[in-house]
Amino acid sequence: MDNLLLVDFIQHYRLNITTPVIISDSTNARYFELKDDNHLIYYNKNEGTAAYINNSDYRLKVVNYEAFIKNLPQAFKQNRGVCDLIVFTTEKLKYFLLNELTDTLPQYVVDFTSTSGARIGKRKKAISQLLSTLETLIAVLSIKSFINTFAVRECIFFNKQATPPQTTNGFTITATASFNRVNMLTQNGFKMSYPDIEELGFELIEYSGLKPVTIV
Amino acid sequence: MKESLYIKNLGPIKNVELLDIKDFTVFIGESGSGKSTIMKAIGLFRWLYKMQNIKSYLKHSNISKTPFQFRIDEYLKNCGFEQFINNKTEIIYKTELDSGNGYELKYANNKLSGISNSDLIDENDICFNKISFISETRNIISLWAAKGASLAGGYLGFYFHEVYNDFEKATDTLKELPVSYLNINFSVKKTKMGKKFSIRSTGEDDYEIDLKNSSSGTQTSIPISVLSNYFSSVFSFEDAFNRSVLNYLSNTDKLTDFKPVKNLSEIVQKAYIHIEEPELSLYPDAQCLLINDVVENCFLKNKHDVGLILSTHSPYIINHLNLLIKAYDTKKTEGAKLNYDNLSVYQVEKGNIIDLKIKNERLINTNPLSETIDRIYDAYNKLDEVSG
Repeated sequence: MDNLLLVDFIQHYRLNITTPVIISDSTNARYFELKDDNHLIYYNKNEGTAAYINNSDYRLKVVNYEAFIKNLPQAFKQNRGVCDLIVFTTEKLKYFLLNELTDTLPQYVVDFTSTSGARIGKRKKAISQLLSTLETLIAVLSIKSFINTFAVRECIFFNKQATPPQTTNGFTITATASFNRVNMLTQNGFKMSYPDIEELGFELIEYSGLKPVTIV
Repeated sequence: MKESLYIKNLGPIKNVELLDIKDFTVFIGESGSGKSTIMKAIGLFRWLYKMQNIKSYLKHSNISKTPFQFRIDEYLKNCGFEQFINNKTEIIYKTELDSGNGYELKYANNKLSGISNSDLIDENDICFNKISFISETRNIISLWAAKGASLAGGYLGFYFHEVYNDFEKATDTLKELPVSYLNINFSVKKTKMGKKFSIRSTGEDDYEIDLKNSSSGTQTSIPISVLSNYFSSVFSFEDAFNRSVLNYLSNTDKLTDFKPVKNLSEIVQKAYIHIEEPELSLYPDAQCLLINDVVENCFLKNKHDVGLILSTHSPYIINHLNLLIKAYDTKKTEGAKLNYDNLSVYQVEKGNIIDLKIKNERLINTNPLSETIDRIYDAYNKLDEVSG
């Protein structure tokens, strides 16, 4: 995949760049978490924003796709949706997963006390970034052929939820948990209908909180 | 009968395709997202299909002259669509019947097709439906009824008068209706001045007041309970059929030519109920109880086959549907329940629809509807961090 991005992708889009950068890592750990930073893979619980259980000991490679795109010319990046990570199995071509991790770090949180300003839902933004990434990737024929060799192809939206506020006296507002209780009803990711993604041979899956993706 | 609808470029609607309109369909979305537009378009095309069925029935019954003209511009205006239509507007409504036959009504290039004599519905496929639209203007029914005589000639829009007329008919035979989710009984008394609608408490407080003086939540939910009960069980298809068919014949002196191809009892009948914002003026608990009442009326205690569509802003209602699905799946005997397979829930966003049914679970994904709560507390935590 590194070569496909560094060579084929750059050539296909005729990008004038001499030193494209790929940040990637791989693991066959039974449990790990991901973050869209340089380190990518974390092995302790609650360190990352997306969790994986690797029940079949597959070797999984993680590519920081957003970091790769960030290094490309501005004209190419402009108005192009970009997901965070690409995760795929390397020994057996079974899983190819685009990952979009939503976060609630203060810099990404919008002011919600003003009366003006259109609010773009995190879900809508995340799904459009996944779709746009998919379209960008499969436009490169060699990448499309590579992706098509995988049996499971998914766009995964990791839906991180708000932390309930807690006072120093220990009082907790329960609304965030109460409104999102549907997530507690099943351990599975939610497979959602999204025709634009399905037409491209992928499924849209939503994981909430730190509910793990299970690789079997 | 399987129904599908395709809408393109109709006001706020850019591109919407409903491949199989389920018996219970819900649209949720922001104000102005287009959910009511979709529901009104479905209601309109169901009505056009009904009229095409009546026309076909008359033709097959030896009435050769076209009984009525379709005035699509007038119907679109009634729906409030006159400013939504442009040269690129397309609405296609299709039905697929058990016989294998299919029919299509299409609005494109400012014209309606599928209604000519060559498009007649086969006599074996003819159905007779009732289309009801319970609009959000239902909250003024009680006031209008109380002041009806003094307001004669006034006009509050097509949908208000539709729901008002339906409410009038439904209360012709109704004396009392228990409305347990509000702890009240609704009663109708006939007086010399017309009908008197009253509310009597069945709870600890003992009171009886006129409907027009009751709470806003009562005034908006009573028409829903009355009409969902009426159309699912009490409504006489025979009377409606006579009004639609036989009145035309008597008015045009065609009764002697009339050789009915089928009796009404041999024709498939269905009531389609469309409810705008059922949650209006109701506290969340009452919203859920109202949905129980409507679901019981339409799908559990019903005598007629019913199709139900809701448009709503309420995340509570959508979350409540998960409970009703679970009640069905666990074979709960008492109370409301819903078959996941007969249900669709769509989020309408900027003129497109997103299917909220989870494909690998028997659940509706309510997470998109919880985003506001997340947004509030993300912003709260941010302020904590900034000040802290």
